[in-house]
Amino acid sequence: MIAALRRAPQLALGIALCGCAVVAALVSLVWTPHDPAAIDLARALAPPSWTHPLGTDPLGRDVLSMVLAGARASLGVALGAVLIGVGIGAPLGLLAGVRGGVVDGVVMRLNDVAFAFPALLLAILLTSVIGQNALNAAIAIGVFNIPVFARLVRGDARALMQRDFVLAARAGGMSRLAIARRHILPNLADQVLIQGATQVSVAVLAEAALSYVGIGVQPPTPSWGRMLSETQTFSFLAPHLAIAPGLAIFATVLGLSLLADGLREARDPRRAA
Amino acid sequence: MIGFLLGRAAALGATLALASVLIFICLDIAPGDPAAYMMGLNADPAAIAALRAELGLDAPPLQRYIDWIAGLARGDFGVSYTYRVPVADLLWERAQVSAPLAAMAFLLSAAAAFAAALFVVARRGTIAARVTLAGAQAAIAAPNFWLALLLALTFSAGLGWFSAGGFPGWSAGAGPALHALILPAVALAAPQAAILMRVLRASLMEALNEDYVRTARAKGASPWRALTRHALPNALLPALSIMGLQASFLIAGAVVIETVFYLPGLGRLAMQAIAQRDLIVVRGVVMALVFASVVIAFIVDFLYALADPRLRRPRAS
Repeated sequence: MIAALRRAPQLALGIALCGCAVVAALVSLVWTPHDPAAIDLARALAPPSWTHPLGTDPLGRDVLSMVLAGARASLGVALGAVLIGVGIGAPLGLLAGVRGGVVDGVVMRLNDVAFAFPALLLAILLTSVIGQNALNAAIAIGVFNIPVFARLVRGDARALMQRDFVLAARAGGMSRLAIARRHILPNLADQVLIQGATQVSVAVLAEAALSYVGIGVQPPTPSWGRMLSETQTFSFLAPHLAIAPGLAIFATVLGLSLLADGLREARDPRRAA
Repeated sequence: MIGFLLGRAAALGATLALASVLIFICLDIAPGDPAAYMMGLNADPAAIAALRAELGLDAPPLQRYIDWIAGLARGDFGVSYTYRVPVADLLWERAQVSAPLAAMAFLLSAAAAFAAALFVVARRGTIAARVTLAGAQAAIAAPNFWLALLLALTFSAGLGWFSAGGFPGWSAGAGPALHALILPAVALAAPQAAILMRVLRASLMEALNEDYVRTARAKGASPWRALTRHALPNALLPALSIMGLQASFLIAGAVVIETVFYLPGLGRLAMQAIAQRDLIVVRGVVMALVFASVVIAFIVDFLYALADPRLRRPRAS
């Protein structure tokens, strides 16, 4: 582990940035400097000070508290979306890869169709109909994670099916289901985890975009994307309001993608870019 | 190549068919009664009944779906409930903002990615190359609407080079209109350029290790010539397929960017229609955007087939 960190300094940076986001999300569950939802118009648009280190927004809410609490919505929705993607996509991909034939063809054609959709657009369509809240944002983003994991798992499963240890197991009379569980799945876990980190970073961006256009996480739950849209008309008066939530999204996404790159490199130094 | 293109055309048709079914199910069936949904909570039952009749909602779903598709084939997208004008007219008007924006972003992204990738590979190991790579990593992680906001704060509010948003229209001439699209196009293009640059760089680095590049160098080709004439053509294919995928990202991303700059494009139209519960407009915009991105993906596939000599030849098997 230490050796891996030394070989890949970006992995350390990635872990640190992700750690910050996770700590912010957890700490905000029990403590924030102020109540992130407390409106105080008398204090609206206050510049940064000791009581409000990042200032206050147009409604007088404490920006630091909102940024900390925003980590919850961001990570919660993103993790939920990726879990939906893994939970449905991985079994589909495994089925396609292990069975082959018609099942494989059908699953992969459906995948091609899903890939061709403009993802954000369909997320907008879905949330406009099933309602606009954090859970539905996770579902809408999660739908587009299904083909990603289906394709990944299917490709790797197919390659593994040709390996000697699988052929030996098949010759020994093991059923396909048992092979999938005992030999294929454990060998796929790394890849799914690494891709998962990448997909969480994409999902954080997607959640921010949905909340920015007003169809993701709804008030009063603090959300980085919505903070940017709520302060946009005031950002010429108070540019600092545009910095903190954006930096929070940026740092989280950067951390996750560095984490994914670093893990990929640590696992297979030869293939890393 | 014919076989490959026919296959892609079939996939295109299947995608459009599935998209239309999905959109239809989402908007015409899921919210219960679309007429009641569109009229809001306190609507008069008589008004809802009138709207139901106007929308043809009393027909069975299959009939409504067929009518919708038949209308689309004639270019009839229905009549907007809030604007009281044909949706096709709205789409045409708004596309005059969105299409140039997406095209500008696409060209910017490709130009920046190719220039940066060639630079980074030609000068590999230098500090300038590393800074460029780090910049690309940052551009991928920054949400593009935030980048758009920062660009607007810096260049519109700070330096006053651009107006902060809105669109003067094409009637005032191409100059002011294109000027209004520059910042949105930059914000839209930046993450896509960074992704494309990384893909292109990786395939260029791979190509540089190939025997044919070494042979070219041994025969006296300069490093730059070996890179641009020998490595680049072979590195184009992965970049092309990424560009095909990016077309749909640009189209969907424009929805958000248009909101930042208050541009009267298709994306803003969709968001306003969602807020006003004008499902006929939402349906039309989403279908039009899916159509656009699928067709662009097909054009890229066509270019891919032109660029790959293995697909140009008839299949061996």
